[in-house]
Amino acid sequence: MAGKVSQRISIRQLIQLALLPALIVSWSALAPALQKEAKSTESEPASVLNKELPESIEDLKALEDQVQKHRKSMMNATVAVVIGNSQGSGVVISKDGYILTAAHVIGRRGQAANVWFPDGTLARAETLGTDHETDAGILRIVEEGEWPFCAMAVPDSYKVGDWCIATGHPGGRREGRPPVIRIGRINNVTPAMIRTDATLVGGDSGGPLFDLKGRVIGINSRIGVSTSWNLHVPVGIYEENWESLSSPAGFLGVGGDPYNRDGPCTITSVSGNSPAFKAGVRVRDVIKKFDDKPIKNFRELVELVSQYAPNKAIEVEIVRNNKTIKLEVTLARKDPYRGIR
Amino acid sequence: MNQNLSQPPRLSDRLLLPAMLVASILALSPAIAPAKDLDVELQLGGRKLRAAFQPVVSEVRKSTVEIWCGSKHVAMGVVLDNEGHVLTKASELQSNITCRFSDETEVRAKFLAADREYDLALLDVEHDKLVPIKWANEDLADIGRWVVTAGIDESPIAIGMSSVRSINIPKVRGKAWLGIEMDVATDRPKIQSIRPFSSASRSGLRTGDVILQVSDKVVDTRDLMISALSQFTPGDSLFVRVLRGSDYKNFQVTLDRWGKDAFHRQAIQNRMGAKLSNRRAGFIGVMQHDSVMSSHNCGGPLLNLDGEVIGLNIARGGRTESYAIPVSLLKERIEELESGRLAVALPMYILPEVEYVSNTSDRKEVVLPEPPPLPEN
Repeated sequence: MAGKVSQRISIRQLIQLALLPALIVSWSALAPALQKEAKSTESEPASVLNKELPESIEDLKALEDQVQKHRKSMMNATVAVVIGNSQGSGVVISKDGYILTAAHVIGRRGQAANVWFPDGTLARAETLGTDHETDAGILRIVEEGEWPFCAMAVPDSYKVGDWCIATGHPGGRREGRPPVIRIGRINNVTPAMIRTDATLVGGDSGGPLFDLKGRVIGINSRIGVSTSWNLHVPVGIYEENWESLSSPAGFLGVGGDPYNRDGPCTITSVSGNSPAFKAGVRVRDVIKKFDDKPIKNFRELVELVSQYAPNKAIEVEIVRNNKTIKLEVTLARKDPYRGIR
Repeated sequence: MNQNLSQPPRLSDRLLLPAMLVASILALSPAIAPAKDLDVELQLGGRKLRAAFQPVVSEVRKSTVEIWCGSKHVAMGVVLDNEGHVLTKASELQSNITCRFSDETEVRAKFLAADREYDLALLDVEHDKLVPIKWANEDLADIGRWVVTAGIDESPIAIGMSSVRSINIPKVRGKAWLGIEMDVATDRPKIQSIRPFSSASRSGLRTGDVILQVSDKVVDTRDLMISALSQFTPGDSLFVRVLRGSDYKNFQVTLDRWGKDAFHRQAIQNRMGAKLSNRRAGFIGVMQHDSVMSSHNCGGPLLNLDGEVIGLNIARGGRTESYAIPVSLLKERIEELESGRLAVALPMYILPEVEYVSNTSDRKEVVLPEPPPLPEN
C-alpha cells in the first residue's frame, strides 16, 4: 500500500534524521537565559511549567489552565495562508500584520497571498523574504487594520521538556473548523530547529508553536515518520534575519517574454516612471547582467529581482546596438496587487 | 462542505526532504555538544507521563474491556449495563470475539447488532462482576482540555488535548479500488497480479489466489466478483475468502479510493505514525483530539481530567487526529442499538464463522452462507 511508499520515505527520512542528533545544541549553554525568563514571569505557575513530570492532577489542571488562559489569543492569531493552489498556515506576530510562516509555504518574495482568520475574515497579504535553508518565511497583511496577534518569545527562552502548543490547518483550511490545537513537549532543540511531539501534518506548515505563556517560539516546518518527530523553525531564526526576511520585493519595471527560455532577455516594455525607465533602460535592450549575475532569459531576471529589497542601487549590464552599456538602477518597492514588474 | 477532501490543496510539503537534509547540513557547522533528547518516558506517549494520569481512569478502567479476535487485539470497548452489553467499534471486529477485563478475566462475546452510521457494535458477554460505565450527563467537549483514553491497565492508553469541539468527517467519495488484475484464462476470479501499494497488496492477497467469497457473497465468476465489489465504497472494510493451493484463507481488505489514497502525499503523511482506523470517515458531529493512538485503541472511553466520560473513541483519523463520539449522540445510538431495530444483517467486516444472533430479545440464530465448494483440482 502506501505503506510501501511511506516506508521508502521513512527510510530516507530516518537516515536524515539520524544525522540530526549529532548536531544538537547543548542545553547547558542556554540555561542562564532560561533562569532570567523564569524570574520575569512571577505571576505564572512557573513551578508546574518547569517540572519534569506533573506530579498530581492539580499539576495537570494547572497546565490545562495555562492552555485555557491563552487559547483564544493563540487561535485568533493563527491564520490559513493561501497562495494560488498552495495552502499552509501562519501566525500574526504584530498588530500591523506581520506573519511568520514557512519558506516552503510562500515560495518567494513579492507574491499576493490570501490570509484567512479563524472568524472568517479574509485579508490580502504580500509575501516578504524567505530563507529556504532554515525554512523561515514572512508575509505581511497589506490592508489597514489592527490584527489579532501573539508576540514572539525571546529566542532560546525554551528548553527540552517544556510544554508547547501547536496550531495550524492540518490538511488545509476547512470551512467551519477553527485552527486545530495540539499539545506536546519539546523533545530537542538546535539553533536551527525545535523538535516536539505535538503532531503535525501537511497544511500545518507555517503554523505556530507556542509556549504555555502564549508566545510564539517556533514555526511548523517538517515531519519525520514517528509522531514524535515534528520539526519547527525556532523563532530566533526570524529575529536574527529579520531585516532580510521582512523586506518587500524590489521592482524594476520592465516587461519581456517569460516563455522565451532560450533567451536572450530582451526588454519589450518599460513602465513609465519606473526604476528601469529612470535608469535609462529602453525597449529592445538586452539585459546581460544584473548585479554582476548573468541573466539568460526574462524569467531569470524576474526571479532575481524579487530577491532584492527596494531602494538598493544595482548595476545592470545591457547590450544596445551591439554595444555593452552599464546602468545603475535603484529598485522601487513591488506591489504584488498592481501586477507589474 | 469540505472542498479539501474532494480537491486536496497542493500542500506545501514538497521541500520536506531537502529541507531536512539542508537543516542537518546547516546545523553541522557549529561544533556544539549535542543536547540530550527528552526522556522517551516523559514524552506525550511515554509511560511515566501517562502514569501521572492514573487517578483519572482508576474507576473507568473497570468498565473498559479489550476486544480480541483470536490472538489479535482489535479494539477497546465499554460495559454498558449489568446484562452484559458491551459497546465497541464495529469495523475492526473479526471472528472469535473475546473481551478482556481489568481483573484479567477473558470471556467470549457474541455479536448482537451494528450501527453502520457510527461504526458501533453491540456485543454480549457473560461475566459476574460487571461494572457499567457512567457517562457524563452532558456534552463537555471543549477546546484545549486534557483528554484521557482509558484502557484496562492502571495507566491510560493515551493522553492528549481536545482540538475541535464538533466536526463532520465526510464520507470518502470516489471509486473503490482493490488493486488486482484477474486471470482471463479462467472464468473463476483468479488473481493474476497485485498492484503495488493497493489495498490488495497490504491485505495479504497473493498472485494465484482464487477468490471464493466477497463479504457474504459467494463469487463463482469474475463478473460476480466485480458486481459484489461494486457494492462497496472507498474506506469500506470487508473480508475476502480465497483458495490458495488447497487451503481456504480469509483476508480483511480495506478499499482505497482510486488514484487518491495510494499515492497522495497527504494520505502518506497521515499514515506516518500510528496505524489508522480502516473506517475513519463518515462521522457527523464528532469531537477531535490529538491523542496518538492506534486503530486497536479505538472503541473505548475518553475522559476529561475530572474523570468524567465525555465520549467514545471511534477512529484514528490521521497523524494529528483521533475522533470520539460525544455522550449525547452516543446515548441516542445506544438506545437504537439496544432496541433491536438495527439491521442485524451480517456486517461486512465480520467473518461468517461467528455465531450470530438476530436481536437482543429473542437471540435467534441466523443461517450462515454455505462455504463455497472446493473447485475440482
